[in-house]
Amino acid sequence: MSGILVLPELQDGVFRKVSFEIATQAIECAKVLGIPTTALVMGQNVQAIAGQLSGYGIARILLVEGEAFAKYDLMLCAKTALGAIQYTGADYVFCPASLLGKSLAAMIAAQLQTSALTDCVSWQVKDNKLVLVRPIYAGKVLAKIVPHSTPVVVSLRPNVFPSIQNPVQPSIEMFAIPNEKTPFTKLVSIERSNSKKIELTEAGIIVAGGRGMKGPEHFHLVEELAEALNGAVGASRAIVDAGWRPHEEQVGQTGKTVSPQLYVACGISGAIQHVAGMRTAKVIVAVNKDKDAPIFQIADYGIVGDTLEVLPKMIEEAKKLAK
Amino acid sequence: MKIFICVKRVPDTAVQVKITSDGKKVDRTDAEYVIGPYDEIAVEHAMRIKDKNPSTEVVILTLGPAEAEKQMRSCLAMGADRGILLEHATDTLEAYPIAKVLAEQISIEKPDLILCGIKATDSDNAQIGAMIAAILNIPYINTVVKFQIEDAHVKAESELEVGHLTMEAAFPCVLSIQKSNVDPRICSLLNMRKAKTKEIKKIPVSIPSTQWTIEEIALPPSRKPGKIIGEGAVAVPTLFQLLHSEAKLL
Repeated sequence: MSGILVLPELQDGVFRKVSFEIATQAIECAKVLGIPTTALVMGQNVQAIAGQLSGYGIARILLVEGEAFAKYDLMLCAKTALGAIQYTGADYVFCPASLLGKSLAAMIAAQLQTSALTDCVSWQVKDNKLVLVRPIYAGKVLAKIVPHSTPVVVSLRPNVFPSIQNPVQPSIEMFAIPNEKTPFTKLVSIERSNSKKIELTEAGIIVAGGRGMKGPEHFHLVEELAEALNGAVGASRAIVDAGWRPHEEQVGQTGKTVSPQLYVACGISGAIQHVAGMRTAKVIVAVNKDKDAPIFQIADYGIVGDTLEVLPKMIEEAKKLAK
Repeated sequence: MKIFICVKRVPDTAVQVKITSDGKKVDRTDAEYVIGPYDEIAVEHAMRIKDKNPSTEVVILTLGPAEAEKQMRSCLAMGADRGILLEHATDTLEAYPIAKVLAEQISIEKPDLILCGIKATDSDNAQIGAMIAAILNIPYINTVVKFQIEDAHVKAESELEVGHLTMEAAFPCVLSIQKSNVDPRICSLLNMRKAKTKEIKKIPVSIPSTQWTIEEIALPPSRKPGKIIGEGAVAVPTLFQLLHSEAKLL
């Protein structure tokens, strides 16, 4: 037996976008290796949506239903995944490199006495072996790695790979829950961010602000521009450390690594640790009053100017577009 | 109560990375080292528990070369009681062998709580905490931004991409610590002097053989040089035009 096992991520009973990205990559990889692909869906009341994965080429779906799986008990999920790896004989396990997915991949790998390859951004098959590229040092360098024992556990970075529709007939099979007496962790409550807010690592457009915004009271300009462009809001380390913005908005080596189509840096100088987190953006726009700011060395389109004067005009133009 | 914190010595994040001439490794000969930024926050969390309850024992557990003692002393100056240095001049990207050696030491000392930074800023694995929990078969809570001790369990707030979870786990358990508004304390000269006499037990360890071949370490493809298109608000219409017609966005 052999194959790829895909572990899609659910949130409130809905697949996160990255789930279809990893499904697509698993299908393409399996095609080259000539092996089958199976998905393991763990959650509560997910039978109705599990079939969505077949829209991306995955025919065989194992389903585990249980309240505990909607309650973020990672150990329980990792043990269940191990059961599915043994059941399907999978050689490769594909997880999303989300905050949860990275931990889940690590726990699965540890049970298999191997290391997971975190946050992979590309793969190829060479001599019938999977070769993976993953950023290290927050993307300052890329490591090309050949694992020479199986199973291989990888997590794939969100928003880097396309998801390609490829409908097939699903076959859904109920899968047994491992015999664990008590849950490992207890979920007390969930506090969701504003549902209208676009999440940074999945965003196509990001508008981020830094010191050049001159104070938290001007940050509404960044938010308005993000809203007008239907994008997410980001922040530099300097202003997160200064307490202007929450850490979850931080882009860079001690924050999030993002790969949007468009990254608009407003009053961000472009320190190495910030650039490491956004250099894979397709197009970078920078607004900064200092024409020698390092951000202009990588910005496809730079405007030298005061953010407080330039941003209102950008908001106006963006709103025109929206109409 | 006994708290273990897994701390790694990492190159300073403000510095560019160099690659060895064979293209297989990161050249760390001139690197300046710091305490892992997330690990340092984990130490601060532990110290805040000890501030309230001074009988808490805080132990720094590091796997690294002899020179890592310097970063461990900084943790002791923050107020940790003692350190254990698992000595190995390792530079591996593989997380499992490291987690296994750390877990073995943890199982000898049986702490109530194990804290790890969510990731080391060099290998970027984000695996050690989760792996230690899996190896020891104990609960694990992800990306914790704050937590409190209640009787024999911990109540922790976990940050996800789209919100926060409040989770509970009984001791012993592992938390991976995310950056938050908790800033590591500045150490006084007195505490730095005190830290010099605190115990650091050095134990040589061996790391099991590797399962990966590193084929290449390379710089990411360079971006095309930046271009300044204009000055001030008057340049904005040109920008939007270029984004539309040239970049094919918007």
